[in-house]
Amino acid sequence: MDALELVRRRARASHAQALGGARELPAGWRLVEARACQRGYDLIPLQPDDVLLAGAEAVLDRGIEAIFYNGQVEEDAAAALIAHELGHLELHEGTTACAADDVDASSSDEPTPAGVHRVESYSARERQELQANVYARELLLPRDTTRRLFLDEAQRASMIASRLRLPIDLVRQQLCESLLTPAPPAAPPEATGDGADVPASALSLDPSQRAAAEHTGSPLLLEAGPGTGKTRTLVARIVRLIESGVDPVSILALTFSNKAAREITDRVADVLPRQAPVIWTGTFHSFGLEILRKHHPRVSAEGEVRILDRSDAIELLEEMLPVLGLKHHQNLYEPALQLKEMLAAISRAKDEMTGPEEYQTLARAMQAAARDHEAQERAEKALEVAKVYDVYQRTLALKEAVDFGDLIMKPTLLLESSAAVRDAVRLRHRHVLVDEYQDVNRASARLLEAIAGDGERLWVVGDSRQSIYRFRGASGSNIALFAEDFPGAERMALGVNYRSSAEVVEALEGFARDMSVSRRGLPLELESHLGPAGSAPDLRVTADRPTEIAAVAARIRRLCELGVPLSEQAVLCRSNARVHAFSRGLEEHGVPVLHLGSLFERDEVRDMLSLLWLIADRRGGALMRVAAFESYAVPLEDVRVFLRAVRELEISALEALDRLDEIEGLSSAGALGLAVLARDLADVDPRETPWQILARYLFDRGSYLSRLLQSETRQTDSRMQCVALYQFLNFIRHARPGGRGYPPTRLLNKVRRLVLLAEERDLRQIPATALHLDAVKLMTIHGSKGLEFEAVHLPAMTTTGLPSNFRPPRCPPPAGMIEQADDAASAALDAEDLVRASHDAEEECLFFVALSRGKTHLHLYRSRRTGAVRRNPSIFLSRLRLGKAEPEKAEAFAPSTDDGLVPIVGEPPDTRPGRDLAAYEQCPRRYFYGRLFGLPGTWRDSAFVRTHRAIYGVLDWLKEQPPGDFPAAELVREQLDAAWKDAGPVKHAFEPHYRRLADTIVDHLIESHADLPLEQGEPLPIELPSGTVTVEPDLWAGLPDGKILLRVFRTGRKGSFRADDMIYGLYEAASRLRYGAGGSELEVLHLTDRRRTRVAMSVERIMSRCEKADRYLGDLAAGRFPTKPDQVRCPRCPYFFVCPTVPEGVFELKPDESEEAGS
Amino acid sequence: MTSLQDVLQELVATVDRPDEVALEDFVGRYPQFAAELTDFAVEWVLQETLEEEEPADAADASAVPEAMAHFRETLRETLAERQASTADPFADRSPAELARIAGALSIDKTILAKLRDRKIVAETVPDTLLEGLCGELAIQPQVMAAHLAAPARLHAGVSFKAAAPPRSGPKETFAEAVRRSTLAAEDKSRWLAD
Repeated sequence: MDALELVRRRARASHAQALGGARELPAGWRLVEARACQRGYDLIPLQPDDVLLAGAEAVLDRGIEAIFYNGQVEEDAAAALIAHELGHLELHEGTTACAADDVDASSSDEPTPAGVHRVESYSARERQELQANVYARELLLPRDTTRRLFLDEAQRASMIASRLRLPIDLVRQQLCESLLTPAPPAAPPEATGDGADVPASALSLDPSQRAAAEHTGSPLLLEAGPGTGKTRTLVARIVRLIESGVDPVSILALTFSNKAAREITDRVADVLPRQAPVIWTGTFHSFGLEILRKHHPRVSAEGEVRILDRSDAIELLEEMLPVLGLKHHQNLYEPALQLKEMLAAISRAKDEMTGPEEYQTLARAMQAAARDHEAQERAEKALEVAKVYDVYQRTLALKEAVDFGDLIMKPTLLLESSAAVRDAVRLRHRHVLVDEYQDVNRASARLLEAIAGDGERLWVVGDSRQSIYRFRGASGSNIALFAEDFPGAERMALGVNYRSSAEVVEALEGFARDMSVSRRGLPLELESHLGPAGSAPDLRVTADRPTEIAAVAARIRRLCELGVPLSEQAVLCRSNARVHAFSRGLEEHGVPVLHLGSLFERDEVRDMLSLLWLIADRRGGALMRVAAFESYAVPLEDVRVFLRAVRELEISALEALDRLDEIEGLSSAGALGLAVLARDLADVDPRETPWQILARYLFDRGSYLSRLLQSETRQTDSRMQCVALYQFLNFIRHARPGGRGYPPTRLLNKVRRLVLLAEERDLRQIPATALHLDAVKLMTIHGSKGLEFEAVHLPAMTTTGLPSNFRPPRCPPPAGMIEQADDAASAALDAEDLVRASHDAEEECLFFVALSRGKTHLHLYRSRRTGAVRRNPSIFLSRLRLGKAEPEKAEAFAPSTDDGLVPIVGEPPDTRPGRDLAAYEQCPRRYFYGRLFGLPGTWRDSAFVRTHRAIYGVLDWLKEQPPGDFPAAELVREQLDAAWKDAGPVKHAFEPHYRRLADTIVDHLIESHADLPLEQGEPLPIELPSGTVTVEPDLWAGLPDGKILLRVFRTGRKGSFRADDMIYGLYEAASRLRYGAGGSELEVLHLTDRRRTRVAMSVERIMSRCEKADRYLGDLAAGRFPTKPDQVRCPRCPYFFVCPTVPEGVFELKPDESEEAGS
Repeated sequence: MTSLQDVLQELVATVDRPDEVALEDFVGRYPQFAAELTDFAVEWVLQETLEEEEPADAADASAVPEAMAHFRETLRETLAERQASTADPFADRSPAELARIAGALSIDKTILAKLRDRKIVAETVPDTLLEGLCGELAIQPQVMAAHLAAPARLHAGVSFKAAAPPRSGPKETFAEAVRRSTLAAEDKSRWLAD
């Protein structure tokens, strides 16, 4: 049973006792008063500055059975305060004094797994405060009551808060918890890993577990294979220590995940509830943070440490990038992507305890040793990373902030350099335990050495075969090095697997034999506690991917028939992309799946993001999506009418909603829907936080949520929608995005950034509260660590599936940064080879982890082909003894396709510019929103993009110049001045740098055209079967040989540009038609580096480009506007939040109105 | 029974500088003082070793004797506080007994809690109340006097966040405690008149 569910049950029992049989729910204050009275406690209000409160908001004093509280808070807040203290009274021991930030009965049950919250809010004490908050909310307003009030009595949050005199945020959060998360299971949920359900008693240990738990006198490394009861033994070790007289405060249990820390705390609390809260249990990062807070005055003058996540760090750096003068790592168009790679390299350096100076030294050494161009370039790249590293650390210091890597490196350096702090930490934490020791990297290993000293009281447990975080420097070799790091160390192994059948254990042992990490550890020899199950691991080979998905679906159903519930089955994939593909495929086969996917791409989440956009953005582009909400059903044409009115009346979209009667041309359905929307958004204030705005929208206004809850037949899909909303609300509750603009705008920018950088992956985790839903779990192998399932399905066992292909990092570590592995085989490898060897070892470990999740049924799959490409079997398959699976009756579905049809009426234009087709090609949906519909978008262009906009202003002017000499340089520069004022990054912190860049580009333009006579040009037409396309070069010039030069400008660098896109085929076709073959030359000039590219296509290629253009013309006429998802372009698209929604109704072509308003 | 003062003095006399082995030994022998021993040892090494780690320029060198004096002062204060806490006349009294005492003395739980936590300036407590307290608790007046004279303490057993080190905070006068109490107006007037 989840620890918080136990808390809720006790709160509900207290609630029932406080009610004493009364049918009517009393005001919150009356309820807590009754409960305190039943417990014999006095409630005593005090002045906030009373010495008894000592700065706290409330104090539970068991010595004299009283709760003292700040008597100046309102009655509703006082009820929450008292309920919180009653939670401590019921759940914990000792007197408690709670400060304002401890008492928040509106905080969520489940901390968001993203951003800095991965580090904060997980100490044992904070966990107690969370439990007290959960208790308080459930005591005042039990979940079932909340659901009944909302669903059966149609009461909304403000009504409930007012009636029961409770804080509104508390009511909203309880609605969020009770409506959006599934009801807890009637029976205890499945065990989550570690063979936790066997043996029965918390302290029942087998001989190998007991020997490890009772070990004394030397450092111990316990090798714990999968399912051998690792956590059970660690918990038993803690219990034995305490029972032998060790002060629980002196015990430090370090983990690599908050989930593991929570599990240890909860399981110790099951046995020793009084001592568990004072044991320091948490992640290495949390512990590092604590050391910094306590002992590092330079970082933490006030005990506060500001932690930046990756996206914060990039925001900090990206505007500086142009100033750094980088050559190799200069992607000014999208600096965030380049910075992501460099920050990954910096993070990796911190994993290895390499500071900026040392990094630079290593890079210089590379440069000195470079003997060829490639080596020289590698060294230059490393030097650039060193430069950015240095600037980054200086900027962090200025901002008094640290990043995740600093949370290990800085405290380690501090402990290594200050004997005082080191001795103090060692005195306080005299018994150190480490879970998942194989995940230790160099930095955390050094931190551990600093804390544990000679390691006499150090106890670590790990499994080198489950080392799957090598990308962040973790290395199973630390297990091999343990005896060297801590001389005198002993090594033990757990011998019984409690999780898997004998057949699965045999497969594990077989594969483990040849794993590279096995060379340095004890051999895997496990006894299966369960014995043979009669189901051997097998492999199903299918013809192609669709039949593979069908085979997995059929097997899942078959196992269901055999009594294995869906919730006990998991499909594990190597990558998120594959998880997504299988999720869609299984859903199409009617298999319920538990999979959130990318949170910000889910429909219901985009609905909420669009609402925020509508509130924060004057121009109302978000109406495209909001209008399509079932509650409003505003037709497409009315969206156009409304947005036109916003533009013409020069008012904001919110103001226009208040002045609907002034808008002419709305249909009755449109007017009605917009009126309902106006009512739902009445009094909304863009200065409020996104959580306040959306919590009010969902729980007080409108019918969005009640429709979702009532229309659903409680199928998995709709339940997942609720879970996704819960996850999203939880995220925005804790998100603290910086930057300019209203809070919703800042959040939207943060979301784009998270998606662009793929930093939103943590939000794909299913919240614990939904894990018991009866659906197949789909997850990556990384995400499955620590879990177990009755049946595991492992698809895509092909050469490219698992092991995955090695992709070298864009910023590889400098030679000498990563410590050489300890075995002779890898001692001679260079930096990139080391990374590759590490990758290969990790892939083996991933496969081992995947195999070991299965209890009884282990089914592997592979397809012979992906599309037309033949796929060979994974090299891992030959290392397993697998049965051949009997084929189930499986029917492959054709994957659904997205036509993106929008009904169009009206005459399409006879002629279309080629650049329109190029835009359509890039993304047809965006083309519809921007070029056809003229939808206002949102995207804050970077300073770099604005710089280029100014240059395009000059190029547009140039096109209008009469034939003759190229305009005088002064005139061109004057045009840049004008365009700069209009579109450039004026008043930007680094404006002079960007202006210098623009000046350089314009100088290149001038220099490239000296003595080149301009010719009169006009659009060149190409007649295609579906219509006419025109192309228009940026410049026509006469060449000495009489030919015409057609020049197309690009303002950036040539880079990897290839002149064979469709648009260049059209240029070629049009110029040949106009000037004949050989009568003209087509050239693309990149102005930043002045590199010219001559375009010369074969006739066949020109024809294929023209055919493509013709196809696009046909699709345009038919109204086909499918989306074209792209990991980089989508989060930068002005219509990211509304895509792919288009409201019902036809779209009438009115070319004169269309414009790309959002660009 | 061994007092905390004895234990701390034994530690000071036994080791030049506390380490994990010595501390573990002391905590094993005196588990009732585990928290105090740990805090004391940590404070000791931080004070002593930080002084050693200070840069040895002239200005800092002159500060060392002062810092050592401060350390010893801190040590004495700590010992005094711990000593007082070992003689806590309110220790081991059940809530019911304390409620009875409050009733018998015509004070409320807030005043009683403040006396227990030494949050009232000793000199401002009326003699009649002190006598009553000593009678009810069956202790000598000097024990109560020493208790009230010691620094104010936080609530027993409270574990504050690591980021916010515990502060003993100021004391208030008895009259202030009465004014802030939940006593009836006439009881307040009577105490204030005393």
